[in-house]
Order: sequence, then structure tokens, then C-alpha cells
Amino acid sequence: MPKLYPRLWRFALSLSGSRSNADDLAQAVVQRALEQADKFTPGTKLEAWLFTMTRRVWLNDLRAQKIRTAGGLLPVEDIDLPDAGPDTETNILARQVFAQVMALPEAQRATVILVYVEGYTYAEAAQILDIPIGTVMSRLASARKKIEVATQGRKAGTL
Amino acid sequence: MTETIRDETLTAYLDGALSEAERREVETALEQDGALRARLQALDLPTDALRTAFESALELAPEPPNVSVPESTSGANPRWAIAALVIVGATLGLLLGSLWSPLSGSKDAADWKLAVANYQVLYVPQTLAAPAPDRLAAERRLAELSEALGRDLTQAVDAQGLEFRRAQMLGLEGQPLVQIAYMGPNNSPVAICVTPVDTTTRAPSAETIAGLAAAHWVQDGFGFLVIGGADLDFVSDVADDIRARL
Repeated sequence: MPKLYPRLWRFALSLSGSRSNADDLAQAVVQRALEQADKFTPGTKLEAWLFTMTRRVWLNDLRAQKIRTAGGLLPVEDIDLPDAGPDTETNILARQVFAQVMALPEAQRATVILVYVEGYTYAEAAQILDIPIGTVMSRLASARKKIEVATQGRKAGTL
Repeated sequence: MTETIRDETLTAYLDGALSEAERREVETALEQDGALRARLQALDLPTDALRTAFESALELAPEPPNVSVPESTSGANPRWAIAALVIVGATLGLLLGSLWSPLSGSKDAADWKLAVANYQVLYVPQTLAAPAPDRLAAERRLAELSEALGRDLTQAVDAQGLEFRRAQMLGLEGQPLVQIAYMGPNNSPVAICVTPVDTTTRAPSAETIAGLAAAHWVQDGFGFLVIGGADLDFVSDVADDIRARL
């Protein structure tokens, strides 16, 4: 099981779209979590609490600030994955899918990470994101349609 | 009518999130409707590639920050001083875990696996010396235990590379824990254990616990553990086989 901090950072990346924003967001969440440790109820899920806090800190605090400093936009960084070794079919596809997910709208991107990467159920993701389950489903459906287009093209040899 | 099956429902179908009845409805519709099948195809997502990609993205993450311990509004609080001492090098989970108590309320999956490993490590070939039961008896036994556990384990009578010997109901922290004991290759005892856990899903992973090769995953709120011997690849293969069938 990968360590928790990199996973929170990865979720922060899916929310904020760039590595430096993810750094700032994850750091802010650690600080907030320490301040609010009293509010955590032992016996409930620590990880879900932290993922929820990451979403909250992003939407309520950091996002507006980042948009202002970036002059009204939230740029998505073009990120290179660490070198995974030989250019196998698997690795090429993985890099393409990564780029396509990062190119999704913020809301869909974050939902994809929670459900398809972190493995949360629809209900759990809905709680973390504070949205109805139906919205989780429509975001995932939209993401599937967008990502499918590009890989279909690759399969058909048009890319 | 298939016009009423939306992409959201097809997505839920692909994600295994539909009820049994809904799933059957979608499958019936898919059998009859080519356009619906095309829409399903359009929703296909290379989830393995996605997970691989985002797993390697973890390497991009920085180290956890050195945090400034917040000032307590109620005056000196020794908890914060303790927290400051354990911050260096700790993962966030451990850090926060130290803030309220070492016995964090959330049930740690590692606890039950370690308990099982400490028991399994006592197994020697002679422990399973009694002759293997016939298939029918084995299935009946698994059916009984499945009933008590709340999860169907009868498919575990067949496990790739393993010969069923016996199965028993154990208990851990008030929860049922089924242990299915097999004889593995090279006369090494291997067990498959299942117990309810707090998480809903966790992808399979392999590690050594108490010196034994172990593969672990969580599905539908049940933790599964394949444990025994020294071959991580072997237990991973068994895990893949079993996970697809249980």
C-alpha cells in the first residue's frame, strides 16, 4: 500500500492541475489537519477525512488565490511521468491515459482519481467530494467518453 | 427499453456498481441492442493503464513537509510537543495517528493480517497430515462457513496450485475470520483467509508478513489474504486466480 502523503499529493494534483499547486495544497492540508486533529472522530476513516479536507482546502481556500495569482486562469501543467523503463505498449498507453486524464476538467479529473485510482466506491467518492452520487456517475461517464475518443483513435492507427 | 439506459448506468455497469437486478437488466438489453453495445464500447476505459500511470505519478510527490506545530489556544499542550518529536520522517498517517492515541480508532488492515501470519507461521506439513476430504465434503464445508461469514467462498475448493485440506471459523476482535488451509507446492502449507474489514476496496498487493509470502486485497468490505511459503509470485498468482472467482 503506497504511503498516505504521496496519495494525498496525487489527489491534490488532480484537483489543482500542476505540481507546484499540488505541493502547496498538500502542505496546507497537513497544516490544517494538525490544527483540526481534535475534530477527527477515532473509529471513522482517517484517509477519507484527509481526502475530504484536501477537497475543502482547495475549493474554499487555495483555488481562488491560485487563479488570482495566475491572472484569472488555472493552467494545467504538462507533466512527464517518471521514466517507467522501455517504451512498451503498456508504458506508452499509460503515458497517453495520464495526459488525457490530466486534460479533463478539474471536477472529472478529481472524481476519476478517487474512484479509478484510489478505489473508492461511488458513495464514498460522493461523500469526499460533497456531491450527489448521480453527479459522481455523470462525471465518470463524461470522463470515459473523453478518454475513449483518444485511445480509439490510437487503436485505429490515426494517431 | 434501451433508450432509458443512460451512459451513467452503463458506466456503473462497467464499474460493478449496479445491483444484481440492474446488472441483469443491462445485460439483457445489451444482448438485444447493437446500438447499446456500441455505446458501451464507447465508454471503455483502459483502467489498468490508468492505474499504472497514476501509480508512477506517486514518485513525483515531495517529502511530507516539516510542519510548524500550531499553538494550542488552551495553553501548553504536551500532545503537540510529542507530535513535534515524531514528525521528522513520519508519513502523514503515522503523524496524525500519534496525535490522539497509538490505538487509532480506524481498524488497521495490518492488524488482522499480522495475527493470521503469526498463526500461519506455526503450520508445518504435519499440521495438514490428515487426508484431503473429497470434493463434495469440501464444498459442503465451505458452504457452511460461507453462510456464517456472509460471503460465498465455495469456489475456493479449487485454487490454482493448491490442494484443499480443511477450513475453519476463527474469530478476531469479534469478527468472523475464515481460514481455508491448503497444501501448496513443495509440501508447504498455504492458507486463504477472509474477514470483514473497514475499507471497501483495495487493490491486490504482495508483501512478506512474519517471514511468510502474503498477497492481500479487499473486495466489497471483505479482506482476503493468501499466505504461506516464501514465493511472492506464487501467492500473487493464487490471489489473482481466487480474486477473479470469489
